[in-house]
Amino acid sequence: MSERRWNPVLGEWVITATHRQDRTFLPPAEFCPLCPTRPGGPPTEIGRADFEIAVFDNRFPSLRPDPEPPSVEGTQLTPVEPSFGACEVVVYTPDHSRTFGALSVSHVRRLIAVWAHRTLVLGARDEVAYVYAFENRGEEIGVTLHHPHGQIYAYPTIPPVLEHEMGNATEYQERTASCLWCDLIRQDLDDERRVIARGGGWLATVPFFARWPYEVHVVSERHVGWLHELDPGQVDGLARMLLTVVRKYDALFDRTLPYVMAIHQRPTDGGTHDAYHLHVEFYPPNRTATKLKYLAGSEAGAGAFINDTLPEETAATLRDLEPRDPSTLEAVR
Amino acid sequence: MVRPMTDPDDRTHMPMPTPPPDDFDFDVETEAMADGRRIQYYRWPEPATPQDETSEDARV
Repeated sequence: MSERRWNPVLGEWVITATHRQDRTFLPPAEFCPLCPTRPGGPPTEIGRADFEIAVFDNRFPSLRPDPEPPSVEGTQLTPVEPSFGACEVVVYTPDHSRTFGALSVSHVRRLIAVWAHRTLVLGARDEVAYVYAFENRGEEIGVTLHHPHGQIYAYPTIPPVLEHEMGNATEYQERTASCLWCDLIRQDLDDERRVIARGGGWLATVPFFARWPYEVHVVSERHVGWLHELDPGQVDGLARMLLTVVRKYDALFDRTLPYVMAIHQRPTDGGTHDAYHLHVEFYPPNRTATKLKYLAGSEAGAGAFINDTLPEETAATLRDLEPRDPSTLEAVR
Repeated sequence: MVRPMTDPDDRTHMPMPTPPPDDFDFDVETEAMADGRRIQYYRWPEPATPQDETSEDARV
């Protein structure tokens, strides 16, 4: 059972998805549902092994093309609607033991092509206004399956964070006739202290306004809005930059660092949204090797993030790290 | 703001165009799963390089 309930206080939708309470939780590797089904083994989600990347409908979706009617009736003040949309799982590789950082550059180029393709396919649906690809990595983030995978949510409206970003970008463009992210790139390149890597048409920085100690944004140096607009050279540059960031993360505390990787593209609602600028955001929860940054009183109750570190210092740390070969890290389950 | 940003009965949605298949260099095979869900298998004519070689190092 899932539905979308309108919060008139914050001006945003909340999705209820009670069936997700029953989803598979940290199974041992031999019962991984994202591994290809082995001869004589239990059936999994993946019926064959002759693929490089697989995408399937999430068994426990929060959003779906054919949602049930809501469990309650809404009012004019608090409307409720069926949870239209889609939730897909992107299995990066048949190999259970790999992590994103252990993929090759050519494999990540292909993963980017799949993200672009799914954005177009899902964005073409009438009920989809925004396609969001992301990866949750690590139990600290809430991961319930260790097999290397990401997810794609196709929302019927633009989600709040994206809408907020788009509103500010549009206002900035109307006021200055310039792109907000293009100007942030110029500022970071002039200052240099927050840059951790640059190349292939992409810039990776700890943003001036980072909420998380080791937050990193990877921004296209060319003003584009969607992954499918990238030329082959930019796709290659993005693959290398994503791997560089993740391998630096894995070197940071000598472990497979948990993170959220969020791909921010323009909406698929038919608008041009030309003020918006494609970028990828990473939010690792660690503030030290053993301590996590929690969303506590100020963050959860007031929406005011407190970062215990200086972006210029965490950027220097990440910049100086040699990207770590993930095969030398402790094996994931 | 005291109303939904998108009224489901009043969408002015103009979706993205469906991509022409030759925009991408992969093959997609769609199959039905046992419970009716759909799965897409993405494959390329040549397998991806399994490991980065020196000439294709990820560093930028």
